[in-house]
Amino acid sequence: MNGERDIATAKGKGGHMTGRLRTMRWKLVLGLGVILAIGLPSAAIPAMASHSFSDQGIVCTNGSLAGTTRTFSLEATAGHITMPDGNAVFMWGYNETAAGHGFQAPGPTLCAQQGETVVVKLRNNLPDPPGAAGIDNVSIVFPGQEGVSATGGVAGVFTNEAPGFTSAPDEVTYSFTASEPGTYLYESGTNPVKQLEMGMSGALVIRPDGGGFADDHAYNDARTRFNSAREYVLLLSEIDTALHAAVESGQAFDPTNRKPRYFLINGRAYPDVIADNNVPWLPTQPYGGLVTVQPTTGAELPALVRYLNAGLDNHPFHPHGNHVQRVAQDGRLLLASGGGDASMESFTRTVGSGQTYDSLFVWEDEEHYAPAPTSKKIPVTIPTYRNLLFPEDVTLFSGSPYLGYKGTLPIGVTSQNICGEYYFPWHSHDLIEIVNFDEAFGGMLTLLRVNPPASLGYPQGRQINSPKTPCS
Amino acid sequence: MRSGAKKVARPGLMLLAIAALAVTIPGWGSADIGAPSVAQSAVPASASTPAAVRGVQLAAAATVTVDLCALAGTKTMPDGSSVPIWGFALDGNPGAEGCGAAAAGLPGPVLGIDTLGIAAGDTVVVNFENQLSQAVSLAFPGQPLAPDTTGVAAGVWPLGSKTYTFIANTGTFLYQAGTNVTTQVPMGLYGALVVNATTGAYGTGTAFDKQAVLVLSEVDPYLNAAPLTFNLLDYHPKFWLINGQGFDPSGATLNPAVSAAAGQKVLLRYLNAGLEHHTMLLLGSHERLIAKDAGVMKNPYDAVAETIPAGATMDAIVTIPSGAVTGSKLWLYNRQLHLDDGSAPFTPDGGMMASVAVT
Repeated sequence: MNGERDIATAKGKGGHMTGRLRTMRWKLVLGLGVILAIGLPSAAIPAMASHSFSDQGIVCTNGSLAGTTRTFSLEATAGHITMPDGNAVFMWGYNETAAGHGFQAPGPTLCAQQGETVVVKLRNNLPDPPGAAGIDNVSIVFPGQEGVSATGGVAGVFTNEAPGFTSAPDEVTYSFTASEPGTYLYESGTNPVKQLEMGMSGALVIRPDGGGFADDHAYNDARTRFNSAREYVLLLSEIDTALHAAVESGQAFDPTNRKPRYFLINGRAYPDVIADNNVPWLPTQPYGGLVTVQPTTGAELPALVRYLNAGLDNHPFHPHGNHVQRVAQDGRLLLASGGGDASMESFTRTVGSGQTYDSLFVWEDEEHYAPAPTSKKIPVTIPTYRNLLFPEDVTLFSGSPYLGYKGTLPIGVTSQNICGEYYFPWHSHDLIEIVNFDEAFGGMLTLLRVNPPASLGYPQGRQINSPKTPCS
Repeated sequence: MRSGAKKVARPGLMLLAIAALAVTIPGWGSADIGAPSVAQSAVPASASTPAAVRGVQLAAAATVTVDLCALAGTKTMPDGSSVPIWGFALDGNPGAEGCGAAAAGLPGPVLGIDTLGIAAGDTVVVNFENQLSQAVSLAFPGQPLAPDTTGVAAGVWPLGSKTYTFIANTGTFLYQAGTNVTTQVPMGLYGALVVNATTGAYGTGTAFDKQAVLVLSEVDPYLNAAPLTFNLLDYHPKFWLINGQGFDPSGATLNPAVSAAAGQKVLLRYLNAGLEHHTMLLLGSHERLIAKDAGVMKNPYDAVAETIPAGATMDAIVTIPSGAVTGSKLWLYNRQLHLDDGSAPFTPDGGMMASVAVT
């Protein structure tokens, strides 16, 4: 089979579909088969002319480093994010406005090195709401960090808070030693039920420095080495639009009857989740959540997936058809007594509110679904098309059961599949959460994309939303 | 106790029992109970245990008798309102019919702490008297005794009674109503049972200096107001409680729940007596999870936040960080963020939250 020709075909059709797909916001249903047939956003939306983000995976905000002190300057600001059904939601968040960045949700992923002194400066630039309520104080707490000091601002229950600009322009400075590597949340410590609902949270990643373990280790442990090009953050949260509207319009905030309508990964709902980082049509939601791997050949290092739950609800989360190796929780390795390995294979794991989990992931082609073109292929029966649903006549299914190959699809169905890759849903199995305002199929759902091995000759690259080479 | 029950009558020590039975048990929020000590003296095991010997453990393989009542009462909620409850209490009139001055608790007394201490292997004899208007049985999940499917009939005089006997397993357990549970448990018929190991919470490697029992639960006042007709599908809790109390930011309620110095180990015994799952987050330190449902984990792990499912218990040990400043607090709160006292308009000023004070 000619991989390049197939790619060209897919792209041409993708371009043809663009306007229609944008209009219907990528409505999606799946059909069951050997793999799932899923609608995909157009592949032909042009990438931003230039951006400093990588296309998929973690986007680190590194702050400024002086000696061993790393400083992040954040501001609490408000903005809007958009949902796949077209709704816009008013949000609060932590933003790097001093560095010239606009509003974003969630807060920037702060990355630091173990042993550094982390300084986080926070100013309050929330808008004055309608009515007489005034501007909320804001603050940051760092669950999982010890000895966090806070200076400036005014005293709150948990920590010091920055009052609104209209009262006393003030800055709070938090400082702590990044003593242990791992995945952590940072989040509001002021009226948290309101401010976390409004979006005031983000991820903090501390990379190891001890024992000669480099940045491609999650912890100071040889077993946690991962492929640096395949490091992913999946930060979960929920949104009750009524509460956000109340805050935006200056009404009373009452979470007593809270009922979330949107369920987010990295501030996006499916299918926006699987778009690349920093796509231009989601200017305030820069972080994508697609997890892309290639089959391991034995030498390949695993991907690292950092789960965080910034929401209030617990979310049982799993990747279809696969297990992950859960190695750490809340920034601490799972160890047996004596330092032995207590990591575990895990399918569904409830990511509890406020928790983080680190998982290593490899996709092993044990059944040889990616044979060389000249090899004999295992006979596979795929469901008849009568039993498959191709909503809007668009699918992610390649038409072939083999990884790296394409097959025939019904006339009129456009495949968004680029290189014969596989897609597996990776989602909250609390299935009322894979909706966008009660409409399936959306919400707290991302995809695992398994690209064919390089040996099949596809160009190697990972950016989907530009005419680059998306097959590794 | 009803007279004639198979039980040796003993001196009542009524006043002390009453003191220990106030609905808001003084010192409960600050259960600074040190590591269990083994007393070799033959103190009679009685429900009406004097404060001086409460929590004190008898010699190994002793028999510990607890006189327990189920009765109706009221409970002041964090917003100041009063709700009807059904609760357990230590019998204020042990050895005779009626519960004396016992007042229903939500939760009930901590067996093993508000009574004489209970050690693994002890024979626990619970003489149970029912003063409620419907049949009640006792369930001790995690303890070796057959479920009681009949219970003690509605409390019409002469009151019914029943004796439950089991040989205690180590750890942190709930005890609760085993009859008509969808009504009786949310009405308040639950409590904690603490069974001590010879060393530490569960033996070697689980040593602790201080401990706190944290019974998590919720109250929907509509259920409590009409327990016989309430439809549990409408359950929508308004009050979020630890040991029957909501956090009071301006007072000392649950603030602190326990105090300890830097370097000391604090055992947090979480019990979820509610109908909802509760994720509890500790701010300022990790906690080491050592047991779930009183089952010791082979590979304990460190966590910031962990979910205690409805009906479950969990034991965690917090080592107060060496650099912790005296007077500072490690905050402990429900990460579903039920942090209000139920009053309207909503204000974030209470709920399922407590602190660990650094001394």
